[in-house]
Parts: sequence; C-alpha cells; structure tokens
Amino acid sequence: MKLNEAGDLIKEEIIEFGEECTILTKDKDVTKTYVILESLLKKNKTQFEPHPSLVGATRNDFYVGIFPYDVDVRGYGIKDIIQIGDKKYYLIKADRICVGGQVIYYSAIIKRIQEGYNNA
Amino acid sequence: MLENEINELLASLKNDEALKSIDFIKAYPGKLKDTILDRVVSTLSMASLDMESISVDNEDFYGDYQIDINVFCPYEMGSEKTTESARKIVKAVVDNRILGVKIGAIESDNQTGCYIIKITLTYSAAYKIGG
Repeated sequence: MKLNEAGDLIKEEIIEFGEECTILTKDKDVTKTYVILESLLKKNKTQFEPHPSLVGATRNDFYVGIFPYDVDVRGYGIKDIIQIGDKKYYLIKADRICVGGQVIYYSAIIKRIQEGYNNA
Repeated sequence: MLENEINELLASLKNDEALKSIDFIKAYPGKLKDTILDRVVSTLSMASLDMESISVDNEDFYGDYQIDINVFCPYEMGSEKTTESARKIVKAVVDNRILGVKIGAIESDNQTGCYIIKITLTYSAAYKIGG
C-alpha cells in the first residue's frame, strides 16, 4: 500500500494547530480526532445577530472543518454530535480532498448546536 | 391584547392528556431555539381583533378575534406528524365558543428546520367600556 505522505503531513498540521474533537454517533460509536475550524461568519456578516422566529431565535453559526484523511466524516449527519471543547456541532456536508488519487484531508461544513429553552 | 384569552387557551392545551407529546409556548419567546428540535412545538399568538360599537352611547362593542396556532414539526419527523399534530390540536380546541377554524397548507421553513401548519381560531368578543 502506498504511503500517504501528503495526508500524514497535513494530519500533523491539523494536530498541531487544530483542536481535539470527539464524534459521537447516533449508534453511540465514539471517534476521537482533531479538526481545524474556521467560522463562516467572516464571510457572511449578516449572521452576527440571531434571527427571531415564532419558536425562538435561531442562529446560523456555520464553520468549515478540516479533518485528517483517516477519519471519513462524510457519513455523519444531524444525529451525530461533533464535540469540540465545550461546544457541539453537527455536519451539514463533507467532501474529500484528493491529490494523486489519495485522500489528503476532508473538508466539511458544520453547524454549531445551540441549547435553547426547554419548554417540556 | 388578548393576553387572558391566549393564556387560557395555552393552559388548556398544556393540560390536555392527548397533547402531551406537543410543547405549547407563546410566540416569539425571546430566547434561543434549540438548533435541533426533537419534538413538535406549537406557538400561540394573536392574529386579529375586530370590534365595533353596537350602542348609541358607544359603550358596548361586539366583534370577533382570532388566535393563531402554528405547529412546528422538525423535518426528521416528517410532514405526516405535522398534520397529525394539527388534527389533534383542532380536536382539542373546538367547542361551542368557536365561530370558525381555518387550517392552512403545510409549509417548510429552513430557518427553523421544520414543517409548519397554521391553525386560525375565530371567537366572538364583547366589550363594555367601564364594564
């Protein structure tokens, strides 16, 4: 099997400059990895304030997450929680980034989960 | 406006055993919504109040008012759950004080990630100045 040198190099960078994260799936599987996050608020400043709605204010805190090549995040969805520090996120969409036919990292759009009122 | 009427309806819906799976709140609670709703939530709000004088001394007014109930059901639960919840609510609220019930078409709302059905209830209203 061909060594994924570029993938390993990027993984080292993700570990050095990123944050530790835990992915808890709806089936209770736990995966520990690292991620580099960038907020998309910088690209869409209209999202700074929460939007009022009948059921409570909503926020659209989207981030781009860079995950190492050995954690395929494409299968995760709204029921799978990505915990980074004390904040929770879920995955909207993910793509694999390939060079020379090898995956070197995964790029994903993730959304922060806010804990609102609990009327129950 | 209509605070008492909405509070009364809210209490009766919250206490209804058949509606235990649905949360009822007043519209625009001024708090953050859970990003991922895991239950059906219905909001109550005033829709309209239309009254006119029916006496020469302008002290007696009569007309009607409307209360909106918006049923929010997360996409993951499906649209059938939305219509089923709306049906249960209408069944619970209809009594001899109601003049009319209007149920809107099912809609989707990406901001909240929910299907929505609006139910408008019409009641008669009488008001006496100084009464």
